[in-house]
Amino acid sequence: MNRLASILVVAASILALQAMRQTRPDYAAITSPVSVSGGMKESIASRDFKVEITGYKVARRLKYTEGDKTVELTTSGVWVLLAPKVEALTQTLVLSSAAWRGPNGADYLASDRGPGRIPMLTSTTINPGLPAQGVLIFEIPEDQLQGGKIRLAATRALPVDNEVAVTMSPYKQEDIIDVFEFPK
Amino acid sequence: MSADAAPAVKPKRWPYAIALLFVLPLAVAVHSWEAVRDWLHYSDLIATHVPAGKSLDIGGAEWRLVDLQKVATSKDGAATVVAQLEAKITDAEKFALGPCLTRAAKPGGPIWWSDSSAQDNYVNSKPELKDAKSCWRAGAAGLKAGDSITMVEAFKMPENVVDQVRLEILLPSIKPYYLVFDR
Repeated sequence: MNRLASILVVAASILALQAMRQTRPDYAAITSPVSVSGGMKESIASRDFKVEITGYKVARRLKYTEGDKTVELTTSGVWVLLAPKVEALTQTLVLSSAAWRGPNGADYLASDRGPGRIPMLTSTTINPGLPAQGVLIFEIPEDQLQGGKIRLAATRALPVDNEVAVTMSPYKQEDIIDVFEFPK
Repeated sequence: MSADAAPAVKPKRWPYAIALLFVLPLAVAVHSWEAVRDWLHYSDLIATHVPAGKSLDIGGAEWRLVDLQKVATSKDGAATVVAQLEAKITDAEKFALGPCLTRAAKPGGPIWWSDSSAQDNYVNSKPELKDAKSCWRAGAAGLKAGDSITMVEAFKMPENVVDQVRLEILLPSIKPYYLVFDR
């Protein structure tokens, strides 16, 4: 009887170990940022910062002037433009990591192509108690527009940091602008 | 079996169980010692207070906060606060062991890290501070023991917290300690 019990305990232990091995998250999952999710027009707060996105625009081309020169940016997909309101909660920071996560799971990083005079969010210093706003531009395939999410974090280099994920509201196909022109 | 055979002696297990109570924590402590040492070496955990108007010899220099005051307020309510520091070098090698980081902190509240562009703007507007450096750059200034250096740091913060913040200096050579200048 004792021997049977021992065999059962060993068998159960092996099964439990195997189950733990199978369900163990990989290193990237263990060290990925702690994400707080929400939708547009909501103020979403993570540990270190707060974000609110009230709207966004989608265009096939971007146009701006720099000095006497007119620059036009084209793409085989679409350009997504938005200007989130952000506030630091615990310390001065820069939200240097911004990505559009498409429904296929791919992250499209914010583009730095745009007029130099426009303050980009990914290079804006945000101080506690001083809300700020900065522009984000993404270049994405058109089929990744609906069901997209904006992911914002101070850095992707720091494991187990905090990030905010904003689920973007659907964008009507007929609202896609042919040319978005940045104000002078 | 003979009638006078000695009864089987049951082995005592409790001494081993008690030994485990000591051996297991010891094994964990030995195994994690290096991680704890590294954590202490890279963290700013313990505040060393410098009373208002006094100086403190630490991290290769005698540090003194000369001034901490608001110098401007923008239309959106952001105040620019400038800290002026003096350091008299006592150990040049230790002082150069940068980078030195500065921050303004509200006790138990948020932290405002120094703003290099606000610092540049302020220093450029004050001819008498043309030789002043940020704490970050001071370590690379090639100073010798006995030299003195003026440092200027600038911060952007809401106007209503200006009177509550204290200047803090983080130096690699004194970790896990850091300096807090009381007001």
